[in-house]
Amino acid sequence: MVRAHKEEVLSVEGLEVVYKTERGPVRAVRGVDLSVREGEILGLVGESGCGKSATLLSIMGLLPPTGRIVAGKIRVGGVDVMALSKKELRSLRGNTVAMVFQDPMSSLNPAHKIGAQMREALEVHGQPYSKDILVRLLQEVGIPSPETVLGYYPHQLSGGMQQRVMIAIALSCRPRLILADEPTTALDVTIEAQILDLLRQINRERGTAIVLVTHNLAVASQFCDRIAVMYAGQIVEEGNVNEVLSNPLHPYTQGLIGCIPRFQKGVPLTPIPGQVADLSEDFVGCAFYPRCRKRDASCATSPQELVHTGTRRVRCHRYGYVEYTETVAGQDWGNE
Amino acid sequence: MSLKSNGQPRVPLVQTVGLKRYFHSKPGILARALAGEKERTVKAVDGVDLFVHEGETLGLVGESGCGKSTLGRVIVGLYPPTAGEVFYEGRPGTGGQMIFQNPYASLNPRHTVRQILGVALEKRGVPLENREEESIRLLERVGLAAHHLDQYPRQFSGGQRQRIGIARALAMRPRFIVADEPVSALDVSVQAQILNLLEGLQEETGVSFLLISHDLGVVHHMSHRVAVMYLGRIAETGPTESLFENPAHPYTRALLSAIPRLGKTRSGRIRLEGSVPSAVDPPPGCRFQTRCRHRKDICAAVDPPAVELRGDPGHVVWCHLHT
Repeated sequence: MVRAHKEEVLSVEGLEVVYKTERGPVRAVRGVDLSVREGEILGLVGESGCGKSATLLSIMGLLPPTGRIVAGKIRVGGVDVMALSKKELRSLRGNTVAMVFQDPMSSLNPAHKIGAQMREALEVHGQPYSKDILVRLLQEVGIPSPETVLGYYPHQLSGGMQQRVMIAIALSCRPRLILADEPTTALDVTIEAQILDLLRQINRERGTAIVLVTHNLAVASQFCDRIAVMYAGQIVEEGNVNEVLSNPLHPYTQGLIGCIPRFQKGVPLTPIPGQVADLSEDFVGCAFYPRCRKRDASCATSPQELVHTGTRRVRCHRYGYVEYTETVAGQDWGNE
Repeated sequence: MSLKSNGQPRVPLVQTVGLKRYFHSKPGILARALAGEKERTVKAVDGVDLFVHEGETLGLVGESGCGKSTLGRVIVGLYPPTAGEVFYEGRPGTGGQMIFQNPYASLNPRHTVRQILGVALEKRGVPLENREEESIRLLERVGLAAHHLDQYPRQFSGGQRQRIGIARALAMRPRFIVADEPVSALDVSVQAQILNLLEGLQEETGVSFLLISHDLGVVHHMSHRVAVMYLGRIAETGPTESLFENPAHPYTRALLSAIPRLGKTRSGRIRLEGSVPSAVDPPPGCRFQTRCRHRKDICAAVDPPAVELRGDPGHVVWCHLHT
């Protein structure tokens, strides 16, 4: 697309989300800022409990009853999501922003035929829903013999085909933004590749912006333009995907990359010691400090700001100050 | 890893010959009468020959439903085979220990670590008075400590639970372990810890692994040899480097080209159309023929024979293109 200025379709500022649990409040998202422009694919990457899904659900207004946005602003297509009524929110979902979930089988109603479910989605959003339109939508996502598939129940389709149906439904109202939460995690690699190709094609042809939540750095590296790495409810590093992965600045990003087998013989894995941070705890300093190989004494006590450096954002106070490759000697890393 | 020593073929630690495992599902009387459902036979494993040498890791890859977990379970004796045979230490019979994917489900939630390990140690015949000492030794070996002995599985993180699962397997002093997706349920940062632990155990004790995984990166990293499974059969097997660099089976080629790799743009990907057919009624001849772009008439008519690639010892492919 040749457009000088691409409009911002999503902006998140200072988002904070708290879940109520039996063990007390869990601060799942702790001040997330994001911006996604038309035609862009942003990857939200991190391990379980880093807040990536909670961020996505907040944007859709789909947090479970136990979850609450306690601070921040979310704008989708320039509209303040949090100021919308339920009805307005429902209209925003689908028309401006649509979501694709991890498990298509549990997102589709097993008792209704594919055609009926698609028709319902279109009807709710006041769109025409003739059979020809449904057939065309299924064709667009690469489903063979769409007329037949309209009469199928979800269980008659493979996981990959179910996910294609979900994407067809998501596309039915021509959203400007697709939020995809681990859309290929439940699928085999060959099918995963097909689904990612399909999403990329939609992005290229229609300029639909995509936010992809994934735990898989390799998937992000091949699919996204930009990635934001999250840890303990915060973005710790953000930038162009190739820059971040070829020259990671945050010790956590560096650690994640060291954990992934690289298809090269004899390259050992260097695990990150310890466990993912517990979000029911509060951190004064850096949340990654207990596992960091590059920490110093002040990391435990000084709050970390997300600092802009060129095209990158990094949340590590040692970045830029200290010779960054040194490690602290004599530490006992233990195992967990 | 050389497959021969002193010019003599080594006897594999574990071997399967023509191994089959079918599952029969018999629908209830109502389903038969009203819905006309028939008895079905799922051919999960349908004629598999493979071997694992001492001190070796054989990676077993394939997509969901290809029969790789069933194969692993038959080899350790959790399921009896429908046909064919398993040889363990050169004699007919099964053996070895198992590490499961889901450490949450494979540990008894009402048992402490002491009890979990105690059951295995008792089975091995370790006298009661030595079990605590032995349990502590096992815990320390997997990176846990004595103070974990009286805790319950729920008190541990996913990675720690998998360590308990590994300690339980080690309690039997096995020479062979089937590790079925041992890291799939774990976070990336914890995966690497467990993989390094398994590698260390092998270096130390010479234990052999059958590593079942859908993650080709993990398999490449851990395995000396790799077997690719498709719809109940082995499609290709060979030394890791040779198989990854020179895949010979059209399915292996498609599978490898689909892997997302860090920092590599996906180029020359072989698109695989459709999805895996049902193991209830697998296609005749080559199992892959319905999706293969190189299909010839013979592929649907005749089971492809095993062919060893020229100049590539141990690299065997079951494909008519190579006959």
